[in-house]
Amino acid sequence: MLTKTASHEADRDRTEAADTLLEVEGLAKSFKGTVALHSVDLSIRRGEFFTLLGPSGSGKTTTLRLIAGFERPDSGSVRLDGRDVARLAPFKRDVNTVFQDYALFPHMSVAENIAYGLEAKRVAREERGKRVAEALRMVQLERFADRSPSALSGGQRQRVGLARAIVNRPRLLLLDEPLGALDLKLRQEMQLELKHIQEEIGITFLYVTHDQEEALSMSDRIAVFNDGRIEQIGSPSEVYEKPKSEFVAGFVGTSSLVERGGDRLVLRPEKVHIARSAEAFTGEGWHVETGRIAESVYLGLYTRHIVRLDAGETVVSVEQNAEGPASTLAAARGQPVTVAWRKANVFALPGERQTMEKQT
Amino acid sequence: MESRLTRILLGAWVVGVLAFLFIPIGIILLYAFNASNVQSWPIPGFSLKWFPETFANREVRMALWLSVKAGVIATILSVCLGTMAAFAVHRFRFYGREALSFIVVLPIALPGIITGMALNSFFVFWHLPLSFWTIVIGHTTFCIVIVYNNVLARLRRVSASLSEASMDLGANAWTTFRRVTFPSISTALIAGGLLAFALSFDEVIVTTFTAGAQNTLPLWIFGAIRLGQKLPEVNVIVLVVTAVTFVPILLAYRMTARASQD
Repeated sequence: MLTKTASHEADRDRTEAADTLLEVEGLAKSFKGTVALHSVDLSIRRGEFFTLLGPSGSGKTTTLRLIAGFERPDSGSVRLDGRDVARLAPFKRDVNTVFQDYALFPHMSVAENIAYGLEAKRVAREERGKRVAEALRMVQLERFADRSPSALSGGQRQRVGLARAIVNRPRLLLLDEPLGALDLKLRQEMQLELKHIQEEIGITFLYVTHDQEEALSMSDRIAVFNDGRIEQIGSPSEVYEKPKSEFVAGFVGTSSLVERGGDRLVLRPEKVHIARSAEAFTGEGWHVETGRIAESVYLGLYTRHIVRLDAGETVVSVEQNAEGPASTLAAARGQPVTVAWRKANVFALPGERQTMEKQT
Repeated sequence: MESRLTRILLGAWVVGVLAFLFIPIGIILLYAFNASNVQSWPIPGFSLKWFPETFANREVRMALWLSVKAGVIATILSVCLGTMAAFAVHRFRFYGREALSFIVVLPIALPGIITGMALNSFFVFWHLPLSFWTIVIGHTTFCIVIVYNNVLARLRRVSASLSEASMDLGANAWTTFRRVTFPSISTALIAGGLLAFALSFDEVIVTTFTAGAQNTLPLWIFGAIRLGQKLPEVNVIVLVVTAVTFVPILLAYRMTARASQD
């Protein structure tokens, strides 16, 4: 029985190893004495949409640049399909990058830009033409092949940037805040399109962004960066529902932190319910408290209430306007309310308690 | 908002300054077509007779040829050296980088007379005979600055991600330079080169100290004016020199203006 389980696990390990495309270990980098990256470990599976999420200066872009080869690490390894490429020049790595500022060659046409990588790799002319046409079709820019990049809009330029990278069929595509320079509407369109293209061509995407909504909506897994370290790696729902640190809880979505019975609880607004009386929360599993409305903001889809608990903290609660605005509490400032959450839906931060245990 | 009167006064002042700068040049250019050999205003009549006479002068032809040769060679040298210096300062962080940058730019800030005296005493000390090549060296010292400044300014504007993108797409350092970096600085190179040539072509002070028996065109003009001889021919040459230096400057200006629109 024991041996069987062991061999089972070994089997799983082996398939996982075969499934791993990129393995980053102990990656560290300083710039002029300032540590940009402490020691980062990452493992990305083949075909995955993996996102590095964090505020600016958190080390996510440095990680991407180290994987692309634009910087050399102080220590650590970057294994692509088992081979350490950390000290190879960018042109010796089978990865391609989509840049935030597009980085299109201004003196070349759209088609010439896209063909550049194929020419550098000495792909035969006929094959080159076919693949450029295919890439143009994929980003819907067939009509723009002979235009100059300066004649294109921001969204179109970034499509060219994408086509120029994927035409080489890299093992790994790096995207450095590719939608950062676009306005909101276009960004949302491009998010969908990027996701579709990724599914169509099956290339592994490593995506860098500071936009948590973008990360949640597109990724298979997310690594949350803070201050040169990874705070948590997990699926969008894991990162949102079970944040491992106060930073993650605050950076991904909004949350209120309250301490109850020695636990630090992450209260997401949609999980905090409010009502005029405690009768609404009869039954098992509710945690019920009282408080007063500090502020209510009607936002169309929902109403956001900020409630000051009698215990002292402030929590945020959202109420869907399913029955129209009249059904909301439409509460005046200072109105007493009952606040409740299901204990099962609320996640306690690891941390405080664990560190205390460690100390004792 | 300034009052109407101030605006008119300021406008008149600008016109006055521009007139002070450009009317003498215009008059000299007009004198080239003077029918008389006496410079007096207004000119008695128009004539092209000084043009063939000037070009028939062997001294003038030799001086012109010397100026062109020195200008071209100084330009080539300064384009090479200035570009390399600009790349070094832009690309790398090394000990003495600021000092290098300062030393390269210094010759344009120093009075020409000091550069000229320094070069002259250097050549004399090492027993190097003053010759065509000492003129070229003298001109190159300040021509480098022009190219260096032009190329450096361009390099700072060209996004670093362009060469990263090229390497990322599989091109090695040399291909990246040839296909991406060079095309994006080429207009700055040409503009810098043209300005350098224009600067070399009308240089007098440094040339005075570094030329031996040779006369460049500006030296010949200077000599002729000082002796008060052949003034009609001087006027023709001034016309030619103006044209030859003005055209490259105009081209250089348009090239940098177009590049900054992209």
